[in-house]
Amino acid sequence: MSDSLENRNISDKLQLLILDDEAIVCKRLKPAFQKAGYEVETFVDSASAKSRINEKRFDIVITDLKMEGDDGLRFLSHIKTISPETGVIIITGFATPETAKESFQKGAFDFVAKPFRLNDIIDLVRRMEKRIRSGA
Amino acid sequence: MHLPFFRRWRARHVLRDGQETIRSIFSKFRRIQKLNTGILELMAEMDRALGGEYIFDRAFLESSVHKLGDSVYQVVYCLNALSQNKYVALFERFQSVKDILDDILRGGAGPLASSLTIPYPALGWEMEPLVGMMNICLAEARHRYALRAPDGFVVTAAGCKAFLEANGFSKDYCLGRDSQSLKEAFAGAAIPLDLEKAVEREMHALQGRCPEAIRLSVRPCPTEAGSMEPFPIGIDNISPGELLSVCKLALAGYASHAAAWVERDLCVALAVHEAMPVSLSGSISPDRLPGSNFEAFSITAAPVQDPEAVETYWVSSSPPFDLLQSHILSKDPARHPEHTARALTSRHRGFYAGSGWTGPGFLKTVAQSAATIEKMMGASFEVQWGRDESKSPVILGISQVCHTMEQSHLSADLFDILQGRDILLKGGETAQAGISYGKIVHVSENTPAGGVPFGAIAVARKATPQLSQILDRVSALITEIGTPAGHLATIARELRVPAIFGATGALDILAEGTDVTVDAGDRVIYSGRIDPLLSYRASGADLCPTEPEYIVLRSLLRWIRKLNLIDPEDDNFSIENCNTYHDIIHFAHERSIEELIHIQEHANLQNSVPARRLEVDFPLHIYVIDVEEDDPEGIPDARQGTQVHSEPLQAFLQGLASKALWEDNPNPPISLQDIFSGLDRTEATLAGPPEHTGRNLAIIARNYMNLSLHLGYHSSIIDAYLDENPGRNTISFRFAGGFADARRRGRRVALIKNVLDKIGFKTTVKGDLLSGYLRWTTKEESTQALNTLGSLTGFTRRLDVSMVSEGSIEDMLRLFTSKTSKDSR
Repeated sequence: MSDSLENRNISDKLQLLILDDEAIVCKRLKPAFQKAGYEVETFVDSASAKSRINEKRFDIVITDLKMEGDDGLRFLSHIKTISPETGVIIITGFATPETAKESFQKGAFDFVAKPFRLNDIIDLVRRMEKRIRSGA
Repeated sequence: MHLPFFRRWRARHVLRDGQETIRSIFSKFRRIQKLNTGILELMAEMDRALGGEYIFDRAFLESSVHKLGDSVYQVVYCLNALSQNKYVALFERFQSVKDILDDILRGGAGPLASSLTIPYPALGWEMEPLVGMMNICLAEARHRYALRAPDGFVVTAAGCKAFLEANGFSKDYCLGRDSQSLKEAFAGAAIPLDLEKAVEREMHALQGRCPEAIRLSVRPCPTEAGSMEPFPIGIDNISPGELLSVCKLALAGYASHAAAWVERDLCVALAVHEAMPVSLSGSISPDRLPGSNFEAFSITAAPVQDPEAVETYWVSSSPPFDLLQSHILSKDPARHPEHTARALTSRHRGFYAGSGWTGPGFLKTVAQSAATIEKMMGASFEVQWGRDESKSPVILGISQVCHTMEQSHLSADLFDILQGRDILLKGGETAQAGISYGKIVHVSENTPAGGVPFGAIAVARKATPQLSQILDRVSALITEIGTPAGHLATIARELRVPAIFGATGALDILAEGTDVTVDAGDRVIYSGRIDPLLSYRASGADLCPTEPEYIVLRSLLRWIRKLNLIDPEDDNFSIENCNTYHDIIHFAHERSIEELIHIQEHANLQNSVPARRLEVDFPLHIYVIDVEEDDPEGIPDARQGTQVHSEPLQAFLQGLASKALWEDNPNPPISLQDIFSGLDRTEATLAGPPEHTGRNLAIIARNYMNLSLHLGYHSSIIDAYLDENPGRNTISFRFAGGFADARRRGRRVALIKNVLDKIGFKTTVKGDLLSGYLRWTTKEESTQALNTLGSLTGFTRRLDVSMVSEGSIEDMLRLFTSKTSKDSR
C-alpha cells in the first residue's frame, strides 16, 4: 500500500475515492473535486473499489449506502479495518435515523442525504482535510 | 308542543353544529394551503435540481414523486371534504397524472409514447427516447433560442416501429438482405393508415407555419440514449408529394446497418424538416487555438459544390468572436464564381495573401450561434451550419460529440490557477450552474431585449420576471436580490443561463465594461478571462440536457410543475383540464377560496350561531365568530384592540373607522325613479334567502376573515387570507346592489372598480355586481389593500344616490382620495 498519511507533505493533494453505483454521481463529483484541488478516483461497483482500497490508501472516501454487492456500511467497515485514519462520508438517497446511527457507530465522519449541494459536500471534505492536515 | 328546556337544548345543538361546520371547512381550507406550500416547495426543489447545483440520484426522483403524490391526493380529498364532494372527478385526474409519473419512473415515455408524429414546436429534452436528440436540438435552437434552424416534425420511434411491425421488417429480415433489395422491399411496403394520416396532418401544419417550405429534408435520428452518430445521412430537397416514399427509403438505408439495431429494435425516429438551400457549409465546435490553451471555436467551411475544399478558421469563443487563425486554401476563383474568394498570391518574405471562403464578419455570426448552442447543450457539441442566399448562417444539425471530455479539458493545476486569481465577488445563491466569460453590463427590468450586447454578463438589482426577455442574449446573470425559487430562476434554468441571485453589492462591485469569468456553481466572479476554467465546462461536472437523469427529471416535471390552468375566470379552468399536479393544486386552491367565500351560506349561519357583537367607533353593527376560539369570553372591542385576533379584520376595520369617511357625503334629492327602483329591490331583497338579508357577520381566524356586510341596500363580501407567504395571500371582494337606479348604481360600481384597479385588484363587472381579487402580494401590501377596502366600504355606503352624472365618478374619486389622505395625515 502506497503513501502513508502521516508522511504527507502539505502541498500534496489529498486522495479521494468516490463509490456510487449511479454513474451520474461519480461523473459529476469527480471533476468538481478535482477543481477543488483533490486527486480523485471513482468507482461504480463496490468490488472494484474494495480491491483499489486494498492496494492504495485514500485520505477520504465518499460512498453510497445502498448498492449491489457490498453495501456502503460493509464497505465502511472494510475501510476502517485496513485504514482506520481514512475519513468516510456516507451519501444516500435512503437516509433513516437508523442507518445514520449505524454509520456513525461504524466510524463514518458524516452522513449526507441526497440530494445535496455540490458546494456543501466540498465544504464538508474541506473540513475533513483540515482535521487530517492538523493530525486531529 | 316542545318544553322550554328542550327548545333551549335543541337550539344549543344547532348552534354548535353550525360552528363545527365552519371550523371543519376552515381547517380543511388551511390544510389545503399547508399542503400546497409543501408541494410547491418540493416542486421548487426538483426544479432547482435541473440547475446543476445539486447532486441527486434516482432515489431522489422516486421519493419526490411519491411524496408529491401523497400530498396532492390529500389536497383533492380536503377540497371534496370542504365542498360536500363537489369535485369527485378531480380524483380521476389525480390518478391519471400519477399513472403517467409512475410510467416515466419505470422508463416509459408517458402518454406521448404512442404519438406517431410530433411537431418541432412541441418538442422538449424529455422526449429524447421518442424523437432522438438531433430533432430536439434543432427544435430548441429554433423555438427557444430563436436561431435560424429549420422547422419541421418528427415521425417518432413509435411511428417508425408501427411501419416496421406492420410489414414484418424485423432485425433478421433487414440484416439478411443487401441494401438494394431492402430498399425495394421498403419502397413497396404499405404505411399504416393512422401513420399516413398523422404525417399528412403534420405536413399540412408545417406548411401553415412555413408557407414557403415546399422543399423538405428527411433524416433518420437514433433514439437510443448516447447512440447518436453525428449528422446521419439524410435525403434532401424533396417535394411534399414524395415525402412518404422518401421516409421509407430513409428508414431502409438506416435499417441496413447492423449498428443501428439495439437488441431486436431499430431505435430510430425520422426528422422531416424544411430543406435549407445553402451554398457554403461546414461545422463549428469548441476547440483550443493550435499551440495554445486559448479557448476557441474551430470552424470548417467548404462550398457545397466542392466539399473536399475544406478550410479551417479559429475564432474566439466569446464576444466579439475575433478571428484568431485560419488555414485557407489556394483556390481558383474561376471555378467558384459564386464565392468572392481571391486566389493566394505570393508576397515578400515568403508570405501569401488571399482570402478564405468566408470572411471574419460571417464567421462571427456563426460563432454567435455556436455560443448560444454551447449554453443550450452545456457540453461538447458540433454544429453543422450553412450559408443561405441572404448570406446568413443557418443551423443544419447539432450533435453532442461525446458525453464528457473529462481529463483532456481539465487542467491539472486548475485549483492552483484559481487560487492565484483575483476574486471580485463571492456569494449569493446558484440559480443555474455554469461558467462563462464576458463584459459586465448593468440592466434593469426596463432594459429592452435588444439593449444588451450579445454575450454580456448582466448585473441587475432585482431578479424580476421582466429580465427574462434578455436571458437569451446574456452569458450570465447576476442579481443583488432574488432567490433560486423565483420565476426568473426557472427561466434561467430553462435557457441554461448561468445565474447567481442574491449577490449583495454586485452593482457596486462589478463596474460596467469589466471583463469577468463567472463560475455560477461556485458563486464566484473572477476578474478577467480564465481559459482553464472555461475549459472545465466540458469536464462533465455540469448536469447536461443530454444526461438520462436530466431527461427523466424534465419528463417528470412536465407532468408535475407545468401550469396549464392559469386564469380562474377562464372557461378552461376546469377539472377536465387539470393535466399536471400543479394544475390540480392550483384548481383546488382557487375552488377552496371560492368555497370559503360562501362559507356563511354553507353553514347557514345568519342569526343562528352565537356571534359576539364587535364594539366599534362608527355606527355599524358587526358580529364576529372566531373559529380558533373554543370558548370565547369577553367582548371583542376594535377600539381597544381586545378579542380581535384577526389581522385581516384589524386592517379592514382600521380603514373603515376613518372618521373623515363617516362625515356626510353630498346628498342630492332622491328621484321618484330611485324610490320605485329601490322599493322593487327592497321587496326582492326581503323575499330573498336569509344570507342576503342578514346581519353583518365576520368569520375570523388569526390570518383569515370572511366578512359579509349589508349596508343599506347593497351587500358586500370580503374574504381575505393574510400571512408571510405571498403565494398564499388572497383577498376577494364582491359588491352588489344599491337603492338608486341602475345608472347611478353602475357609476358607484365604476368608482369602486377604479379604486380597486389602482391597488392591483383584478376586477370584473356584471350588471351591478363587481367581483375583484388580489393575489401574490406581500403581507404589507395585502394589509394596505384591506385598509383601502375598509375606507372604500365606509365611503361608498349610500353613495349611489349621489352619483347623478358620469362626472360624479371622477368627483367622488377625488373626494375619496382627499378624505383618505386627510385621514392618513
